[in-house]
Amino acid sequence: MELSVKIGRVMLKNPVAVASGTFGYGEEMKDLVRLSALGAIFTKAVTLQPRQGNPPPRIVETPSGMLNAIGLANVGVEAFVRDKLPFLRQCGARIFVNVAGSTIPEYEAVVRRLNRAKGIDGYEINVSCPNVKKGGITFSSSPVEMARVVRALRKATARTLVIKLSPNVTDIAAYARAAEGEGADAVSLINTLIGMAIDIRTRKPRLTNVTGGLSGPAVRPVGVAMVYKAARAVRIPVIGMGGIVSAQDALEYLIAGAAAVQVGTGNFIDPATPGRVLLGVREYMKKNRIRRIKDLTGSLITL
Amino acid sequence: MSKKYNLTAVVVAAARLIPNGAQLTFRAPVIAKSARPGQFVFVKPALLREPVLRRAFSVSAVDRVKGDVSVYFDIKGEGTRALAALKKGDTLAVTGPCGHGFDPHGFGRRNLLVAGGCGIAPMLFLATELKKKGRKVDFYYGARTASQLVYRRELGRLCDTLTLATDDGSAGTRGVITRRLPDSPETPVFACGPRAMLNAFQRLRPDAQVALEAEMACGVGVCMGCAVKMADGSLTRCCVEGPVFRASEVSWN
Repeated sequence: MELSVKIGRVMLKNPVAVASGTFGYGEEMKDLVRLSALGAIFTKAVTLQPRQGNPPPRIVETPSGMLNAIGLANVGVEAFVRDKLPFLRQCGARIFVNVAGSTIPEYEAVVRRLNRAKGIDGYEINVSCPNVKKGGITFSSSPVEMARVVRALRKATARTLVIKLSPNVTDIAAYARAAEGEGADAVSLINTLIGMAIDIRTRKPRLTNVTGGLSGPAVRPVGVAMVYKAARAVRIPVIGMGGIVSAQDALEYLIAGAAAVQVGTGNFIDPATPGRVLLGVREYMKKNRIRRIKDLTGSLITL
Repeated sequence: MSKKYNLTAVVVAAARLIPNGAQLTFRAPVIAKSARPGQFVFVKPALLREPVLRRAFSVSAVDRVKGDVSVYFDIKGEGTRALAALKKGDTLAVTGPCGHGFDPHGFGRRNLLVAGGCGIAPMLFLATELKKKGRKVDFYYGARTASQLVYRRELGRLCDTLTLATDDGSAGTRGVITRRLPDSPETPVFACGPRAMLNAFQRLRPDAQVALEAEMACGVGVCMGCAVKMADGSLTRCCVEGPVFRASEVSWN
């Protein structure tokens, strides 16, 4: 059975990865998950400067999911390289560092700094975090804006470049094409959907940030639809995520067109999720006599 | 910090101690063995899909011979209602033990423990462990009314002294329990209870070890949701750097 997947220049041993923002920098999960069995770890976003993130409360549970408005809380690129990367590079999974910023020079500075560090297989570029106030510029406001970021970062690195797409757009395929057009090696989607919850006793928003990003099983159908659309629009691999809590969910994404998947909120729901997903995908392939994961990718039968 | 486990445990006992408070005991020998007072477990009914996230409860007791872990919690919403409805034989998804418990280097020959409302859980565990170590425990326990003083009899038998206070004066003195604390700066203080109660320690006993709570999605330090504001303006994780902090370290605004 051939479970390995090539994303850009990186060979993942299997198609099950863990999503940025749900696995920290790996070390916290080492008691609970066999890291060496993961296809890849997508790290928590790294920004140029350390960030505290938004004031609490910054998470709230919602039906079949949750809202988060963490606000890219992270140790900053220097502390990441010094304190977090050493553990990651020996843990046995492929490492994609998620990069975030509010200006193109910031993204470039983070990537250039990371380029000098060993043990990083690729970058996942967060152009779409809904929880950070930027001075008017949102890179996911149009495919053209997003393309500018990709173009600059493609010049900045030869490492595998994955662009993480936002679902809060009208035409996901246009974004996928724009990323491919600027030389991205892959796209990953979906990031969180913008949502809001209100405490009716106090009439106040449940999040200090007012709105947040929705994730979890509630968003899965949106993710599957967007992966389907994106995969039809581009040739580069599409990494699917959004509400994967079981092998069945992952298989929907793979059949829709995903080359690989990421488990995100599923890690909170049950840390054993990535392991169970991989096991279930293998069982499905065995039962359906599918020898290679690439034969499963995009195998949707339409009338 | 002790090694964490993610496992499915069988419920060995479940009881509603008061209308709004439930005690749950489950068998998890590896957690019973390593759990320390102040640590918590992150749980949900194994077979329930909604609500999706686990709930964090301080460990209230362990039986290291049987391998049992007990928690006591307030019933306040969908998640805690579902957990309170579990029966003997049901299965529980558990991650734990989580967080830093009370620092044993701070244990004295004599110790002052303060519990408010359902903050009783970690304090009961701490009292039990301190008595096992042959230390003296002066326990101060406050609640809204007498019927809310769960484990009152156990504490009376266990501790060297037990002082009670209730909002309505139905047991002990009328008023907040923090008013009853003696002025004994040499005696280490440990506390858990509503934020409004713990607030008092920044002034009364800034060296007190206080157990906080926060909304949690992951319980293990990766979601960054359980942020606690510290006195120096920084944000730390209640589930990793806490849930026990020194009162002086925390921002009480």
